[in-house]
Amino acid sequence: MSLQTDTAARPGAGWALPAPLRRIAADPWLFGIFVLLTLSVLVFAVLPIVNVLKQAVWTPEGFDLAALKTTLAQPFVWRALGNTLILGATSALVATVAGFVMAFAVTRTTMPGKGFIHAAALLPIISPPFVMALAIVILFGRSGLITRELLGIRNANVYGFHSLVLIQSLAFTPIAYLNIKGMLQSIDSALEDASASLGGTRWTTFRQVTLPLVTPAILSSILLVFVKSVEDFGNPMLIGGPFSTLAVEAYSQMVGYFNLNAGALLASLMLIPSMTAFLIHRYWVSKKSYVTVTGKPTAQSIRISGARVVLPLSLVCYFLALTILLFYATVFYVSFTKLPGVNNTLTLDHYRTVFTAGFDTLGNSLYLAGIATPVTAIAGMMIAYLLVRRAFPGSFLLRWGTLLSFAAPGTILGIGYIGTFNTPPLLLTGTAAIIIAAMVVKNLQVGIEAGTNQLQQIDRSIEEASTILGASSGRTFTSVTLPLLRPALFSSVAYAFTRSLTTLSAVIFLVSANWTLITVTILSQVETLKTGVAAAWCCILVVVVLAILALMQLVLNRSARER
Amino acid sequence: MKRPLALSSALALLCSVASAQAAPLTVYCPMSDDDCGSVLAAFAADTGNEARFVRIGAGEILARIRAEKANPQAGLWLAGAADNFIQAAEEGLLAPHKAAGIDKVDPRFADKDGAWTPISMSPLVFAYNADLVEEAQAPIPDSWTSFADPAYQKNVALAHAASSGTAYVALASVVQLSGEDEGFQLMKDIDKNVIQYTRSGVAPSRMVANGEVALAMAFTQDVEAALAAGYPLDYAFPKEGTGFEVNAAAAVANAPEDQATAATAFLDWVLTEKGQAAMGATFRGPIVPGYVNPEARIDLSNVKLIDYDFAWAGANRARLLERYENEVRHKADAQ
Repeated sequence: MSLQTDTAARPGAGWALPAPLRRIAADPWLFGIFVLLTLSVLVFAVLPIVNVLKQAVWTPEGFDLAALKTTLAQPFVWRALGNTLILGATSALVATVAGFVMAFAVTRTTMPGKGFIHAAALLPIISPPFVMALAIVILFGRSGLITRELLGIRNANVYGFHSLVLIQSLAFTPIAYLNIKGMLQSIDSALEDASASLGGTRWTTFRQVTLPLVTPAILSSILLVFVKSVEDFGNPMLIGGPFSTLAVEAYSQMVGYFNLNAGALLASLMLIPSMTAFLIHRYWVSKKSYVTVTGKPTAQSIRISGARVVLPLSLVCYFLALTILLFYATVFYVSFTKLPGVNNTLTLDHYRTVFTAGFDTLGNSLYLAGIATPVTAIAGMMIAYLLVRRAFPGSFLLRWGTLLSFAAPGTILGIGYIGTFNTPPLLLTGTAAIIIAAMVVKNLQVGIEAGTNQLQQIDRSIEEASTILGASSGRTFTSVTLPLLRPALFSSVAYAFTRSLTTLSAVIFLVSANWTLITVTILSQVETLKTGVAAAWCCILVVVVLAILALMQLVLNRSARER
Repeated sequence: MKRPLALSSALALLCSVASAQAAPLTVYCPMSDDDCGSVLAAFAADTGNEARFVRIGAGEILARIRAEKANPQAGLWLAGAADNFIQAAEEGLLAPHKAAGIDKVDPRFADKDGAWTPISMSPLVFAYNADLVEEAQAPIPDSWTSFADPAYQKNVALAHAASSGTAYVALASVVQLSGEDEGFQLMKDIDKNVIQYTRSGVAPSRMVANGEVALAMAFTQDVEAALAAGYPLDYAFPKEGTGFEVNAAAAVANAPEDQATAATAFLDWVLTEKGQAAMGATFRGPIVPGYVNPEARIDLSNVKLIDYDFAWAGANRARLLERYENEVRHKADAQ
């Protein structure tokens, strides 16, 4: 393999070659893993998406630019693009600020009730599709519990931009929170202590030490939330009102108008803002060094205790946490209500229906997400490591391939999957494997981001020390780098697991009679008026996921203590 | 506790896969879980053909069958507006079959090549929330023009005509009733009252049931389902006459042979008395005249239907939708 590249590339590239080749020769195993991961990403992420997107210019009759022009000439396309950008930017800012405030309060202050805030901040990851949107209608709609019953407003209009920002910010705050919290925890607080002992005020320390050090996590939160918002389809469809986004338009073109050209084109347009945001982010972060983990002993001791700081922070945190809880309480309430808003008698009927129907689909979801999660987390960490620490020739394929899969809307991925994996040699339709693959691919980027941020903090010399002492690069990765990545690993495991359980837009095309999932069941109930049953399923799902996450945290803490 | 549960259900699943060697018919079905299940259970009880279904929306079914063209994963597409089937037939995705009882069906409602089989008929009905109508001091809806009444300002929900059969039938009905230009003018007037366009055709009547809007259009079976669930919903038919949807089913082209055999068996069965009774139990109207669901609250026998030319509606779908998109939806947004 390396020989081939050698002879093929030498005549043109000349002097630039030896360095990358030496890197391959030094780490043949690592290079093998790199090739394997890159190939998997190309096959499972890039190929299916490209298969769909190429239809923007590729009709059954051949290459066709005319259709492209007609679609682009329509003003609604550009309005949808503008809407998508505004919504993405707003949600990204709001969610990141909320996530940062909570992460900072939890890691750096003596705020009471941290466990509660932590739990509330994480809760929205477990938001089965459509449910938050239903809750907002029940709370703030025309017959809403708050708008009509509490405030007596008769003409509340819940449909539109404002609701979308609220829902998306709520739903994506955990991404920002997890990301920033992981980073705040692993910053060596000696730096902050130093600033304090040199006479820096608390504000100076925050502004000049803490904030710059978590910048990578803040930027990547903005990036992740922005991309998630751009590809979000369920919420704009349900409560967007006249505010139409690209994801909605792409979906209606493909599934409604049977216009694959226009659908594929709109989906490609969605990728542009996401990819651009990613480029800016890369450029920004790569210019600075964020190393604080140097191998010298660290102590996480700094705690801000003054009421002047803690009180307002606590108030904001409690307000955010209570808002999140309000939404879940609504779902909980609906699950025990006969006909919410119409007949508010309490009942156990919905749970009876659920228990009679059985837990096959929930079992399926847990089983498949259980397989997908470790794959996602480990692959995410490995890819982060390969991208940050090793520059093999072809790294860009891996980087852009994973990003493409994250930025592409689930619908595109789903349709691409059935088209691509429906014939030998890649025959996967109808199997569990195709669903697992989709779950992994859809959530990989979050693991990569978490790992990348963490790695940027870790001084290379720690790993170099290990290699100098004779450890292979594989051993270095497993015994030095991986343990240092632990906080990022947990957050990406937690994220991958819950997102795999609650994912819908991609897997709706992949479920089969043997393998159907809990989210598809919930969607069916929502679509056929059985809001109560859907809410009951959601509550059960939330409880199960919380139990598993608590268990995981427990095991992780124990294994950390044993070391 | 959770883990044994997941494990045992995973085991149960593996077993069910193992015993599925007899390869039951795989069905894509957009009706509710209960409706898909009850119709297929009746089919199994009557003919011995076991079937399993995947419940996804009609538009998604078409997208999926198209993507699976090279190696079809399902034998039967059960239910959905005929428009979807006309489109699928045009793309060669369906296996034609002249169902045994097709001569009992009005030929206007059937495909002449038998690419798909009509299975039931659903009239459009107006669903309204009496409390909200009273609150808005709006007249009880009795005509298509009621939707454009300024009294219903921000009080109407419609589905996207592109993603919902319900909304497309409504559009085609209005156009057929009053001519194309007048029809589009009416849709533009209605648009001023619309607070939300939904993806699914069921959603607007659900919003009426929940007191979110005063007025919506729905197929009769959706209103029946809401009434059966106990929602206080009222309904009315337009005095000009209403449009309707022909529901269809079809065998998927190039499906494995045992799948194809079972699928054609279903198409023959669904037009029998028992098949029509099973469809009727989901509150959809019969396509073979005769069956009446004793539990239905809406009397379908006296509904004034327009002479809905749905072959025309199917053939002009793309054109009408494009005009609708440009003149009604996006024009309105820009204002």
